[in-house]
Amino acid sequence: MSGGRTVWLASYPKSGNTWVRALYGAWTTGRPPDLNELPGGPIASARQAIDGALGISTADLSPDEIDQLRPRADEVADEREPDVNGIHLRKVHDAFFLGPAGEPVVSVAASRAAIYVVRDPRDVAVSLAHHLGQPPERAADFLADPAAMVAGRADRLAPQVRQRLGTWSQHVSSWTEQARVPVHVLRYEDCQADAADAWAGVLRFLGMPTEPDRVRASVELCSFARLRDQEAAAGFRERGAAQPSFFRAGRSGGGSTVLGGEVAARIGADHAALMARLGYANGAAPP
Amino acid sequence: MLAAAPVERGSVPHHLADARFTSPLVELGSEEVLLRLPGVGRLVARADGVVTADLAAGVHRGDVSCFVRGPLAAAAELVRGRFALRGAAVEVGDAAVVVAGASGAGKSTLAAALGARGHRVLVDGVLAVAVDGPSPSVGPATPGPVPIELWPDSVAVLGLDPADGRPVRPGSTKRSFEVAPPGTRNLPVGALVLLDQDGRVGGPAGPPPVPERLRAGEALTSLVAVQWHVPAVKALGLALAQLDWLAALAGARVWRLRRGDAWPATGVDELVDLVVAL
Repeated sequence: MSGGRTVWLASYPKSGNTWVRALYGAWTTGRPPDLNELPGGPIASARQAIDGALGISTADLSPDEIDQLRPRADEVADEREPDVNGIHLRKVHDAFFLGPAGEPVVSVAASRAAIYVVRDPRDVAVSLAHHLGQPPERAADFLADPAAMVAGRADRLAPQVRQRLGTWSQHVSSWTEQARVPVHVLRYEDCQADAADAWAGVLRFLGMPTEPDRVRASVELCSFARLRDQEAAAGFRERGAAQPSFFRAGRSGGGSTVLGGEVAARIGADHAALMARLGYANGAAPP
Repeated sequence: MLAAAPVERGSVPHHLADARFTSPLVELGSEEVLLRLPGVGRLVARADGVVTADLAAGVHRGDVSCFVRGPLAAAAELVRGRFALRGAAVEVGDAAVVVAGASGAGKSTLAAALGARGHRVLVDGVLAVAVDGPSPSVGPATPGPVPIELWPDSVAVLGLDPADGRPVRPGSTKRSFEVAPPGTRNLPVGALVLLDQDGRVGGPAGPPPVPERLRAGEALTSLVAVQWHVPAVKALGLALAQLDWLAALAGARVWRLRRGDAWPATGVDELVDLVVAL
């Protein structure tokens, strides 16, 4: 573990970050997670949080200037925000890249570790298409775009600052192959197959207790059906406005079928190396 | 108020000798405030209201007016024991409507739209609300024209000519437009609107927003979130004074208005109607 208290919960968008936040919340409290008060928020790119930490308006800064200052905002947050279980969990979608001054856009000094949640990019594409209300082909384009970003428009001010993603492969590599912050790779599919085992692995990595009953209880509190029912009852403010619901299916391995052969094959070709390394190759369900 | 302070070029230290609050970019002393911006330079506001700028190569005084009017002015108010919201104030009838919110919430757009309907804009950016009278009141930040900064999408929706504004900073698409001077009188706060945004991504515009009247407790916590330099308040020994100020504000009529992600393409006129009717 590194020096700060911040544990990044990092992922490419639509890869299961929210579910892990819910798991952590349930494990911490022993109660069903409140979908609209999940731990790990606000996201590291939340403009209001950065403005508050730094005492400025990021609206007056260029995206590159903001990238240069974000590590300082992280350090302020690491110092000031209360921790739970000795850590400060923070959601982040940025790729782990170097800003204009050669410093990673997330603060290494504030970082203790990172949990990188990864998901089959074909399933990511399906989920992304639904979230944005776009056809699957556009989602595949996005996953293959080295200039892909979130909140990058120059004609308006978004609630989040620009987050550079890169391609899906670049994003995964940037976090999993860097050596500045210890990282634990958590596959969404492993959470589906045996959530208790996957979650226990995360807890061991963080040096936290792994009592089987507590782990099992937190997994049960975060079943997909429960989260979907919660969303239906109370809403979920992180749902894309184009989506009827955020918690749609929670399945893994169905992306190839939903996307259609051509788009699925294209994603498989675009990201062949990382998919093979992570066990997502050839359209087969991961082991 | 520092909003119209002259900016002189000169030497500015990296730190204040008597700093009572220090953060990566901002330092507050007994009378002076310092703002450090990598790649831009350092600005210090002194007790006499003069701002000195020690700027990086290629950066001009005009390039930093947004920082002087914004974080530096707000910090200078705090050093004098006065609190400021991130907001705008517009004259509606015999009172002022305060519109506060986070960056990008739509405060400036709403203020400009109200101005287009004939309501005078008093302030946009750093809003110091006085609570020492019978009710909270606001006054103009400067006797001169009020600058309103707008993003291209708002400029288009408001029917403004981008050439009538000037870039807030070189390379920025945000433009500053000057509206008519508001006069000098203070006005009581008739309503305080916390403008919020849905935050969701994509999709069609939803139903028009409905104003939600906030109870005092919720108003108080919401107002803290849109106040400038909150972390410095305790360091300056102003925590109790802040509580008194927030309580006075929260006792006014405080509303939350949540606008959708399709803003400002849709919803501006409806929001103006709602605000005028509050």
